[in-house]
Amino acid sequence: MATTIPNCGTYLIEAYATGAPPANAFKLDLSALDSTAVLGGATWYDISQYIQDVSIFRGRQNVFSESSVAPGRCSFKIYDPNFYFSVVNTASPYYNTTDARLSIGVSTPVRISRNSEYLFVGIITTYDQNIMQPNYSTVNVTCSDGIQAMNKIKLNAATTTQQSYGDRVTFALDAANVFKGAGERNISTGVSTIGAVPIEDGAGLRDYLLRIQNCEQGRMFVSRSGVFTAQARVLPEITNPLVTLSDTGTNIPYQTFDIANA
Amino acid sequence: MPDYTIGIAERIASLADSTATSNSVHQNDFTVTSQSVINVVNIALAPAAPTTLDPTPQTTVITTTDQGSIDAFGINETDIVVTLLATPADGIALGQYMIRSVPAYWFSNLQVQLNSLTDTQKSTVATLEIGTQISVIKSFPAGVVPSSVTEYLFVEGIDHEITPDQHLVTIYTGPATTYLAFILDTSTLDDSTYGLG
Repeated sequence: MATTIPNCGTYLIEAYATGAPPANAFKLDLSALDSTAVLGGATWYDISQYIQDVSIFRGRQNVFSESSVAPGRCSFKIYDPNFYFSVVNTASPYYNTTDARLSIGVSTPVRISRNSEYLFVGIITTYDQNIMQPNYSTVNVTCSDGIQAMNKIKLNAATTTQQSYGDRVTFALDAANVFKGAGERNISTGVSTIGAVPIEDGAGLRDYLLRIQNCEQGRMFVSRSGVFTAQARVLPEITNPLVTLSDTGTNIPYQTFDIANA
Repeated sequence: MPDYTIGIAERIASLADSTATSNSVHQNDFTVTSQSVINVVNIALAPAAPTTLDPTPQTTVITTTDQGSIDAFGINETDIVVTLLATPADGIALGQYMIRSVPAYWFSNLQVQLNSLTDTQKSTVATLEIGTQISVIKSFPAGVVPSSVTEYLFVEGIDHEITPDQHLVTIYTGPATTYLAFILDTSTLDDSTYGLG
């Protein structure tokens, strides 16, 4: 069940897993066609009620000293008095009898939203259980977005042609076969032109994207809804701020800030 | 062997490839000795694949300097970074973009607590995305000049801390090169903060 934080909103934390059949499972000869009944397989489980503290960080803290192509991160703690999230509990509602293992763990997709707007979409990267006597369990979970997986992806040797920044980013993602679904990319054309330099066999995808990013000096990140985004460097132009934070009693109030320097 | 023992020519020679693997002489980042100022940017263009017309393509190095900044702050130079840029013109444009003549200061690490906002403001802050442009107004007590400062910034990072009783959002920013829309009869002529569309 989604969790409501007073004066903040309704929060939903979901894990994409298999396990016990959903309550609205489609049953042959019983369920009506075109009803809300669903087929088996993986589904998004609402695990909000077991979680109290969530931290999310995406992007970079200092534009001048940190790379833009950094994975977004998320962490939370699961309070698990019923051992539903324990790998040893074969009676857990998240236990996959087909695979004979808990279906929530490392690599499980996770999404976090507030009032139906996503704050983070990624996968679990660490899943550490702690059991306290007599019978209480917690699980510390960390997650990363789709950029994290790029560290493990190697590109095959390929020739290239002279391309725009956006086209070369697309070329690299296509070559790695990632973020290939509809609406999973938001890539701008960019300002720079990338040369016809061949890609060497075994080049890391994230390192290669970083080299493209070095040519453009824009931003590369995964959006809060899981879309790979590549933005061009900004040239002087007329702009209108989307949001104004202010301590004058109008607009959005802030509590503290630092004066950063670089 | 530390790369400072070899000269620029040797360093360039060792960089003439297109691999994406970073090492001590083949950086993937423009690391500078001082974050405050960059007044010399070294950009190398990786050679294209050999062709019959150009069987031995060479690495091209482009150096962009800001002498006024060097005079004021001393030399703050980037490493030689081999980029994948196509032409020297691209390298020059990038070098000019990366020059930071003077130290930059800007408002960042802005903490906003959702609990105290209106519903619309909560939604706006919670859905802020990287790359969004924002403005921040800080008013100061009497005796501080100016009495109010407005900064135009880009969102570069977002942190959410969600607990059972609050949702705290921290916004990390970078300075924006911003021009305000020039409005006829209102905006000041010859004021560089205003630009045409």
